[in-house]
Amino acid sequence: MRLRFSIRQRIAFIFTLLVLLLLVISAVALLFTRSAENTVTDVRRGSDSLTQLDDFRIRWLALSGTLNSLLLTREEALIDNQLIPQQTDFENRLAALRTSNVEEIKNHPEETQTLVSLSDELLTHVNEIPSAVQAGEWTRAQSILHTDIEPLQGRFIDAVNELHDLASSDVDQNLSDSTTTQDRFRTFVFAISIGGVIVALIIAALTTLSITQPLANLTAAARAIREGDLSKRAEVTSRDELGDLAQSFNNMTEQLQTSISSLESRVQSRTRDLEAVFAVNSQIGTLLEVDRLLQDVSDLIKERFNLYHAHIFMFDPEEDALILTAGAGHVGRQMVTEGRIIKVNSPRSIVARAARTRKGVVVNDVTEAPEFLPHPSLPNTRSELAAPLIARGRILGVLDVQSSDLNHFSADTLSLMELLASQVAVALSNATLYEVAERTSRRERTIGNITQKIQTAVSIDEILQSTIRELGKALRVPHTAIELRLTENISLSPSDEEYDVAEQGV
Amino acid sequence: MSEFSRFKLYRLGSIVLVLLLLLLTGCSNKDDKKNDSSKSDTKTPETLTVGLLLSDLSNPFFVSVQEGAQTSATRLGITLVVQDGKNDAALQITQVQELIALPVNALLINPVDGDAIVPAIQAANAANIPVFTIDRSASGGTVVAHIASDNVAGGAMAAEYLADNIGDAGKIVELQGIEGTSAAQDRGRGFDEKIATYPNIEIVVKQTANFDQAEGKTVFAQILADNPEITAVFAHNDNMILGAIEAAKEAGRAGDIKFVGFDGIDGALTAIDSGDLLATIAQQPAEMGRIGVETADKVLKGGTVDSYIPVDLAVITK
Repeated sequence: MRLRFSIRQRIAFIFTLLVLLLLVISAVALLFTRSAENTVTDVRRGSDSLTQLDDFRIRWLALSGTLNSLLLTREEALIDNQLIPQQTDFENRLAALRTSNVEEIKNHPEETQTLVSLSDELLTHVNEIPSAVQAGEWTRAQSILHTDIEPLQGRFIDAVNELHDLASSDVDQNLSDSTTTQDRFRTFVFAISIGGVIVALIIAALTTLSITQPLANLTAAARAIREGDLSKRAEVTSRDELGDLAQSFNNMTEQLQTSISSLESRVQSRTRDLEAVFAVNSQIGTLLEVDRLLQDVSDLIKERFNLYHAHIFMFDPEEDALILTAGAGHVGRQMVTEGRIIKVNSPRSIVARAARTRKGVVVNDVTEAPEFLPHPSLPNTRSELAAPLIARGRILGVLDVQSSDLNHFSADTLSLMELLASQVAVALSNATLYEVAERTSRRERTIGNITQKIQTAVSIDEILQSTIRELGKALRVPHTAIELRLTENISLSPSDEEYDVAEQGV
Repeated sequence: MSEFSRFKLYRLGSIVLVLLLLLLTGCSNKDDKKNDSSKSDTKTPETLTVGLLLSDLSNPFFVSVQEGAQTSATRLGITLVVQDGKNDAALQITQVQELIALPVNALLINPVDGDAIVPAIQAANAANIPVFTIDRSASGGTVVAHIASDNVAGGAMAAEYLADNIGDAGKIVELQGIEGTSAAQDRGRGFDEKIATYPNIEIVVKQTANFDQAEGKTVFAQILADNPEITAVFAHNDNMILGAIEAAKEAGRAGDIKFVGFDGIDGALTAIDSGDLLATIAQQPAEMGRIGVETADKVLKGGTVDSYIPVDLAVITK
């Protein structure tokens, strides 16, 4: 699950949810209270309406009772004492009913109208009674009571009862409605509360888990790394602050791992280079012959440094040029045979520049370097390093190495190569000195031999012969001649053929 | 990402708010609806017109019928059209036809002549106007209901009251109405059946005086002369009993004979007040009119009624 919300937003969300839940419950509770208030109002109003109707009926029954007792006792005084006040009372109640604002009565206008009309009719006939009585027509009054008032009274009671029943059922209906509403609210509050608690618990658990889980992952990763397992990474499960933290942690670990491994490889390659230098060094120390020295150095450097090519130019001060003297492998030898000379002042040569500047030159991408001088036998050269061979302050030549990789030569390699070059130069210088010394001693020995032979010679010819032969041997020249000049222009020069033997004999 | 999720958060919040509002308004709507439904029941009823045809408005009895009908019509919001038949059967038929043409929604007919009115009732039937008869029935046509006093019960009431006042024993006379009329038959039957339950009371004479006061006087004078031992008289109407009282007074017997009449006319009430008449069984003409209109109203509004609707009677005594 990839969460899009940050921790802050998640917490804000939970609080919002709780507040909303609280609001909903409060609102429903308010409605519940309102509904309960409505119920109380309904009941009170309903009971008012029923009371009003009961009162009305009782007033009439009192009036009716008075009429009956009036006709039974024939006491005219009852008219003023009871009948008139009761009639007035009834009329007042009737007026109140007519203008009633009670909902349960207003809701039934037809029934109310019937009741009011019946009451009016009753009153009309009730009014006829006193006049009949005062005229002494008691029987007429009785007739009015029996034939008019009593039938109407039946209707009146029915109408009151009907209205009473309607109002009563209205009250019942209101009560039942209120109860239903309240039941619904109660169920709703209950459901919302339970549901809200469950939802809140789930969300809280999920949120907690969403925070603690990445933390646990991160902690486990950190522990593993502390114990040395740099390949361990924290699992990024969210896009929140913790996700960012885990990402940063991983990046940091990555960098740490990279730098450690690169450091190790650098140390390794440095060690290998030093080993190579040591190997080359120990080899060149034992070589005193210049040509072999250069050849072996080329081969060794190429082999031990795992290079594409290595060759050595020697400096010819007379020509002011660099002459290819030794090259690694078959290609190197072939190039040496072909002969290759680079003028020191040549602008288009890395080797020449190294000689000119007396400093090592590195070109790590030859295709980008205008001064690179390509050679058809070395098509794969990508980077090149040239180090001057300097001994006792004199430039002897240039060591030139090439790689088929771009950016192969670092500053470390350069200094190594310079070191190697100076060693080679010293060795070269030593070898040259040795050769010179050996040649000198050999020459002196030859001179000694010649001298000895001359001393043992008995004739001039023998002396000359021996001299020429020994000189030719010593100088390793194909042709030796001695020209003798006499002051009297006598030429005693032997023919060339005569003295060629010495050379032949070598 | 942050912007996006914040937007989502707001959206979620607004959805919850909207739901909350819906909940609140939903509840208040319900309250409103409750009030509305209780008020919307009031409908304006169409005004009904009912024709009332009375046989004779010179008779106070029918004036009372008219008054009662008018009060009920006013109460029920019915327009009442009243026609006076002036005891003229032909005139009444014309009036029925006029009312059919008006038109009216229902007809309350108090026939002058139960036979002559039949074609008019049939015409009303043809026009789909329900017909009700009051006090007097018709011999034909479709009549939804007949509204009249419960004469059988009235006769029984008279018998009971009379018996109480003569100590459940004695010889009595019954003056009958016009032979063959339903009033005379029913009142006589109710009276006779009730009297039969008193073993010591004997009806010595049953004779018709044709509902007439003068005839009642002559008939009773003869009966009194023939049967001096009688102690009480019941007549099928007040006119005959008033005639009988006159005869008794002339014979000097008014004080020791109990008289019970039927109808409760003004003369009878006066006679009760003066002590000449013991009691009369009063019809309730106003109640007849009221019930007539109420029955028509009920039928027109889709209700069902009995084909005979008896109207109670009342014993009027001093």
